[in-house]
Amino acid sequence: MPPTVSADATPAPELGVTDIAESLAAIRTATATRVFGKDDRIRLALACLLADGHLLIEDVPGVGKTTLAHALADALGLSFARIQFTSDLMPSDILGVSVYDRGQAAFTFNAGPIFAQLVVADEINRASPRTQSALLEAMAERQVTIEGRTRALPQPFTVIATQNPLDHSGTFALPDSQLDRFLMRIELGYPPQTAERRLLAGERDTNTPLAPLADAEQLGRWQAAVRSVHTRDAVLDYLLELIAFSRRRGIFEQGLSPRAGLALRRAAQAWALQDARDYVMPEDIQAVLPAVVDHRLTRRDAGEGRASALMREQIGVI
Amino acid sequence: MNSATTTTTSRFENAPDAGQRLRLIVCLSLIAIPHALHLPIWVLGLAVPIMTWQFVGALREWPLPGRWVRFVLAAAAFGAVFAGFGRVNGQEAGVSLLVLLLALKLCEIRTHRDAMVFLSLACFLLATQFLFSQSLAMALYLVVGTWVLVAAFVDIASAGTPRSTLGESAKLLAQALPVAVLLFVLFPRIPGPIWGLPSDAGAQARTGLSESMSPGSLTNLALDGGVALRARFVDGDVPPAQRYWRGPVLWDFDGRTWSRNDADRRLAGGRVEPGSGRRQRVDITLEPTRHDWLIALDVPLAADTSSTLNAGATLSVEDDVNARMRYSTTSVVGGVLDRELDARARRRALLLPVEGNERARRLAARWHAQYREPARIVEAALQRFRQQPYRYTLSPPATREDASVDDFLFDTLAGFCEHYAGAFTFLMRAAGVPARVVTGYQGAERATVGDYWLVRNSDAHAWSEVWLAGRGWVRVDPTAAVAPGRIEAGVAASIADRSSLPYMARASGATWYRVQMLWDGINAGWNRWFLAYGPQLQQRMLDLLGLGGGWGRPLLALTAGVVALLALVSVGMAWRSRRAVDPDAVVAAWRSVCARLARIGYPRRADEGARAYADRIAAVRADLADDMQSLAAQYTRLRYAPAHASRPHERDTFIRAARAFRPGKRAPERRRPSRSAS
Repeated sequence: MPPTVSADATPAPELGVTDIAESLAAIRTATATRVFGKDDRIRLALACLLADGHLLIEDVPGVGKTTLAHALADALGLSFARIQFTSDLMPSDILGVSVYDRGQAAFTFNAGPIFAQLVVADEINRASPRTQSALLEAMAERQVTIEGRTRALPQPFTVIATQNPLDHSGTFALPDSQLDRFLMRIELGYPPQTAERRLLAGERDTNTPLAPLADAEQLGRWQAAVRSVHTRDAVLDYLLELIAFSRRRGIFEQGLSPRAGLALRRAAQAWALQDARDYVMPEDIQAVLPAVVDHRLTRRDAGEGRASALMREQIGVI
Repeated sequence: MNSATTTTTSRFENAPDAGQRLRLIVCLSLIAIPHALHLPIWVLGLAVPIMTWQFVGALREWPLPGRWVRFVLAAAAFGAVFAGFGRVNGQEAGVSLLVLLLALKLCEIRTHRDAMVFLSLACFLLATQFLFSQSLAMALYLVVGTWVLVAAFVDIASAGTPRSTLGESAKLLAQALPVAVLLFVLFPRIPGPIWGLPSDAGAQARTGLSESMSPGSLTNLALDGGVALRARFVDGDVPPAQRYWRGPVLWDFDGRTWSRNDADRRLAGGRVEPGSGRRQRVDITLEPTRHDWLIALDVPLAADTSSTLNAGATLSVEDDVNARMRYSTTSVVGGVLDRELDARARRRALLLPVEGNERARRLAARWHAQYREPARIVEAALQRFRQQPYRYTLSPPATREDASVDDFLFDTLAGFCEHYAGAFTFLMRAAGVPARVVTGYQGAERATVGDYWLVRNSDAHAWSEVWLAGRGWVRVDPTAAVAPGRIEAGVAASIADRSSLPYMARASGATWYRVQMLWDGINAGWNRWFLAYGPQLQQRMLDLLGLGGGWGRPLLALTAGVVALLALVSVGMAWRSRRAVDPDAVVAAWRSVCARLARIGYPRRADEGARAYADRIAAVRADLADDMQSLAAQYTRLRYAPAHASRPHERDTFIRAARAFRPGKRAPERRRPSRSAS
């Protein structure tokens, strides 16, 4: 462990948070060589992976949704599978199927693309609800049952799903209950002009995959480190107030679920860890708030502004 | 009026949802229900459908009616009230309008503010109940109403379970109670009823004695178990036969009806000789009579209110008694009333219609010729009532319009006290004995709770007075000759068809009766200690508290008391908030840093974390950047990092640094301060 000096001049040796934060920064930098001008989204996506949650990227085609997912998988050294969802996609196309092997005179299981550490589910809203729920169940259970046999999915297991919010014809929008299973939803948006100029100038290397900077085991350790980031009572109080506000009558269709509360805390921990801190502060929660809550809450009053902005405005911190 | 598309940007306004609207409607119903007792039925006929409509609308989440629908409905409400009452103000019209407009207000509750307006108006409606009734039961109901209303305010202001909302409301009311007590005791009282509105007080139904008496008028009263007055005998009990309560004296007879007319005011007399009988002091609480007389034990000598004794020896006051009234009287029982009778009074006491009731006249003329002596004529008449088969009944047969006395005396032989008193007085006058009818009450029952006696409307009675030389006006009760039990034991004991009597006048000993008497006892206390707390009682109370003599001292005490209470509350709240919100000095120190920055124009947003705030300040005030970022970093660590990671001296360092932080109003020009983070 190389000696480091933290921002507060007091090292936190039990976690080695500064080491982790530096490694994570390296992964972000590497990813940023493939997705230009989206440093904050890369950071959120990484936080989602560190929090052991699934990510939904919602945006129009061509803004780099898949590129981001691929780059993260490469940089983290994870096995990668991509499923293009279509209306005729069947659950077995995702999970796998047993095929009769004539040579061995027995059925052998052909594992589907779900058996990868990082699965990109492209345009998830194009598939039928049946196929969607096969994926979403696998996401929640982290195991699949095929032909009566339960098979564990690899560790770590993360799904990055993308969907195009403007594409309505022939699609099946994910119901709210399924949206809750994604820890975060982010939008990418168009790149800033400087980034787009670099993109157009051909600065992006599309041929060679990114060199892995970590591996699955390493990611597992980081995820454990995220879980041990401290959350003091003052921060828990703030979290509780936010959750309570979301459940007040007349503001949102439905308040945040306990699962959403846990997701918020875990995401904030992952954010704090990337900031080389072994404790959460309200700014961490505020940073992940839009990505964690906006897809779970629908405003009732038809008012302007996002749910997260409203919540943040209403609850004070000290 | 906000339209649905308006959104608030700066402050989020919590628009009432369907559940809150439903609760508002329930709240309004609760408050308006007692008004159903006295407002015209058509007001309910308008208000109830509107409220039901809105209730169903809130349940089904229908959109609120549009501007024009509301306008038409509101105009219709005004029109209906004006058509019904001929005006839109005053007690009943005003309250009706208020009820209707509140129901209509339900149709436009879109925003938080609308709900607040609605509830404020509902408070006003709640208070108007006191214009109609000030009974203890109503007061208790209104306490519940206030509780629910405050809960509705709490409900609108913040989310919570019904339980917590009602709890919060109870807490608020409990906190307001000391101030209310102070105001009740010390706030200057003005003479007269607080709630009485003289303008249309008479619009309410009258019960009790009236200015005239015709066959059947007292019979109706006998069916009314309501309380007429409550009395306390200061000088010991009065025997049942003496429990005559004197009301208005009826001088004039028109052939059927005995009337009071103006005789009381025009004639002289009404003086009882103080030393001629037993003096009896009685404290009386009189229910509103809507007339200008007071009731007193026969025969009153004086009272402690500004009343006068008129020629009929009835206590009279200037204005009608529209509110419950408390006074002390002195009566002379068995005394001599008007030893001398002047000529005008004598003429009036002998006056009869020119014709009619000829048989009675002939009978009286025979007595006159036979006995000469007035006392013997009186005896002859009573003798007749005793010996002939006269009956005392609540439902006498009908008599002819122009010969009611004849029919009663010679044909039906059945009647209630007004028949006996009327016929007897007629006979006396016809026989040349000055006589008059006295109305009032006879009897009293001892309250089972509290030291007082209860006189009910069903005790209403009429008797006669004849003037005898040397003895003055002498009370003669012909009813007693027919039904002696009436005087000794009350109406119930002497009437055959008891089932037609009100329950309260008939039964005693039953559990229900005891409960009723207990309730009356509590009510009497309420009347005596709360409603009667007017200028006089207040003055006595102030003397007792050592605050007598002018309003200066009570008002000073009132102000001081309220200020002291508020100070106590704010000290308590400050103490609690210190404990609750700032668990340690670190937060307090950070707050003071924020406060100082706010004073020079950089307030911290409520949702702004320490680091974000420091960054923002640093961006605009380079001179404060170092200090702020250092303070924010220290604060964040102390507040959010695990407690074991920070050492005690860090805490002290931060607090010292926070105290020393004195941001200047303007940045020093072109020179960064050399101060650096400690």
